[in-house]
Amino acid sequence: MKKTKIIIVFLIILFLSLSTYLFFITTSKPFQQENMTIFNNANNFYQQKEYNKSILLYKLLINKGITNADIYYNLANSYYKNKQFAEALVNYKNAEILAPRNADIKANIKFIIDQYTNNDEAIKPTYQTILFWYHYLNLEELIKLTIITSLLVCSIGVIYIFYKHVLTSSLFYIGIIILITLFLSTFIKIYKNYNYSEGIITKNSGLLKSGNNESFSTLGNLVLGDEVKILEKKGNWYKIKLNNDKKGWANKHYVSLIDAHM
Amino acid sequence: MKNLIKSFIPTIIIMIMIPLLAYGQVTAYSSVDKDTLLLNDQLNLTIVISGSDNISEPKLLGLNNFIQLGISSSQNVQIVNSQISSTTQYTYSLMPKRPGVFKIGAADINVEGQVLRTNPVTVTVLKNASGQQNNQINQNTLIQKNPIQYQVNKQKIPSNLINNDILIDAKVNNNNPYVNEQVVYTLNLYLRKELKRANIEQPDFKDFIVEPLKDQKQSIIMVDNQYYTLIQQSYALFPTTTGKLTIQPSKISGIMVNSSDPFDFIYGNSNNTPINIKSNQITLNVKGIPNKPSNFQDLIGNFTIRTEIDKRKLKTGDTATLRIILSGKGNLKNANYSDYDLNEEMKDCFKVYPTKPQTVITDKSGNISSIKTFKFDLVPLKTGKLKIPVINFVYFNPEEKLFHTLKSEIITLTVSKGANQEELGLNTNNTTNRIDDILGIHASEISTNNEKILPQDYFIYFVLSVLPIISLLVIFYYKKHSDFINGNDFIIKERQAYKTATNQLKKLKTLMINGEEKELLINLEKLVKEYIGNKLNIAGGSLTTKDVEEILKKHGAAPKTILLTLEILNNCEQIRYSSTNNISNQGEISYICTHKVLKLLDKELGK
Repeated sequence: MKKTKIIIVFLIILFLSLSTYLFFITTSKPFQQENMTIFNNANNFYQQKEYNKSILLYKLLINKGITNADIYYNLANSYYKNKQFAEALVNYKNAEILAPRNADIKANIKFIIDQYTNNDEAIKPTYQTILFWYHYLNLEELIKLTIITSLLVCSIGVIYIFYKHVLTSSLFYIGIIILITLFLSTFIKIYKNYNYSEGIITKNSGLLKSGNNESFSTLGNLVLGDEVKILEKKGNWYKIKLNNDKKGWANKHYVSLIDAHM
Repeated sequence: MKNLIKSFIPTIIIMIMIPLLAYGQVTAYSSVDKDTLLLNDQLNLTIVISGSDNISEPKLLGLNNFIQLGISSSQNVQIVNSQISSTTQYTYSLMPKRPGVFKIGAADINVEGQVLRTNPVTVTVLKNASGQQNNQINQNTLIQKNPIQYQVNKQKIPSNLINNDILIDAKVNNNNPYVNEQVVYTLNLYLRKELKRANIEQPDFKDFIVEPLKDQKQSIIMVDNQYYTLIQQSYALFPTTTGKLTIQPSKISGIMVNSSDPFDFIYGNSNNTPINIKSNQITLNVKGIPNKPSNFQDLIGNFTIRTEIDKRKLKTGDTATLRIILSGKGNLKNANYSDYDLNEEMKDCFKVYPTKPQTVITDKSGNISSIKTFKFDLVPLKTGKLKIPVINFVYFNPEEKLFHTLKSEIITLTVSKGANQEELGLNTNNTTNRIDDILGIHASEISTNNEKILPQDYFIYFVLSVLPIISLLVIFYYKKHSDFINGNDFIIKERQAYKTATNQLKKLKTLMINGEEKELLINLEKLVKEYIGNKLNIAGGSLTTKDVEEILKKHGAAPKTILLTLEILNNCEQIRYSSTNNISNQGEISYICTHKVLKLLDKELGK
């Protein structure tokens, strides 16, 4: 039995090392030099107040599939300086999804909402504080946390199986609760990424229609900078829900999606 | 005690005097809350008796045409300037039984032995369904039904209303509006009878922005000697495109109550008709606005501008609040002014702190009016006379068919030196990084290339997070299993039966090499029986050949294997009990056969 235990402990150590290695090689890829050059050039254009050019370069990086909060943030700043406030808000929101704890992003979002939109400043509800791991971690961080927690809890579990003790059992059961919560949170976040979208009205003179083409009746005006929830997508139309709970259809042309999901 | 008596005497005197003072001239009069009412309405008749509190309850006369629903009374005693007045009020709730003109309210009241009679009041009861009409009321006369119902101007009555119990009619105040110009759409519902479970389906305001006008209006009108309840609901519509726009009909459904007698339901006489009607369709010819100026923000209506500033003299570091207020008939939601422009224009003179513009939409006399307030807090950056530039708003007046430009007032502020400007950080040229601006870009090197998580990445993450759990479960199962086996001898024996038997067989090989064949055969017989015993959890040593046969058959061993096993056992038994020593090669053959049999039995009994 002693021999078996040694083998198990050895296997656990091997497994932990392998998992950690796999985990980091799949999540960390170095920023290519070519992209770094584009990023620096975009920053230079911004400093020289050539905002149209900086917008083009930041967008080029995003179109290459790079999902980086700094790029979205700088793009938003360029839009702001170019007086495209709604576009700026979309990109700040994108940046916030990727870096939910970044103070600069939060400050600029608040500034834009206060000054340029009719949206009420979001009051941080209590549940956001209670479910802090869900709201203050992006999806990648949440996944990493879940994997690490899973490894830790299972290691404690193995120890608990062979060496039953009050401490190991308490740690194991608390760990199981945390792990289940993290699993649920991750699945909800992934599900929301794929099933729910938000958007911002980024063009003037849009109309809220009762159906998904121009021939339907008009329910109201789309107000520049308003945040909307995307309920359905059909062709060139989004079914949206406004802040006042009014629902209707808007042409894609007027709505920019907050879609910087990981 | 003396003091107590002193204070009591005036009180007693007053108590005695009250009835004496109260008894003066006794008056009584009757009044009604309305002198004209419909058959279904309730009437309140009030009889007020003042001057005495020693009265009997009034005896009402001439109430044959009314049902008395209830009675309430109240008494009030007042002392004003030593004058005491006592008033008793009786209120009767009445409901008319039939239409007509009636005199009611005459009542006999017994006041301390004397009978007083109140004045009669004339009331007119109108039939709310078709029937007799009161000639005193002219056509289109409005009757104010109760305080929450309203005045209505003379209506243009639809010609098809006559002889209809219900009609829904839609109107607009302007059939040729400009795009974005306000059009008031009014829905008139005429009812001659009661409508239950009414459901009004709004028209489909396709190509319009809709703002409902606040209150629903209700009134009673008379058309061609018929009384109708008129319900009106208006909407302010703003056409969004040019051309011919159609407003589809409104629909109303419900159940029309044909009986006018409120007591009919008691006798089961109700005669209700389901109603499903729709209004007329309206077509508007919406015109485009010609020659729009570049700074036109689709403001259509008639607006004014007002500029307010809370102080005109201030020190550097102080704040002045500038308010630009647009107001007037029309929708100002689209009015916008970028404080960024204001920043640019005044960046050398002021720091500008804008607040979110406020829009208030009001409903004034059936039209939408709005007020939009732009508010800026200005902090002067230098001393002297500083001018606030003019802010322009362009709107189109559809009545005059002209564009107008609203200009804010030019305001000059006199700024004197206040706190140290450098300390305040005001005298800086770097206006792009002012406090009221956004925070700057992130220019530091990006270390990692975060890419979107692809479905295959999700799979890897899933495997990575689930693998430890699976491993844990496997280890858990292994531990449980080994604990179970360790706690059960039978399982160990069963598992290790073959291994034990083959090990023993190996040991017996020496007997075979040494030629101790008899000994070998005895041990082989014992080994086979013990193997069967271990494998099937029975006492193997005491088994006879017959027992072995039955047991092997029972546990599904192949007949060939059984035969071979029995042959080995019989052979061993035979030699064990025989006296002859001629058993050459028997041991070796049995040894090989035993090896084979053990293999076969382990396979077959293991199943």
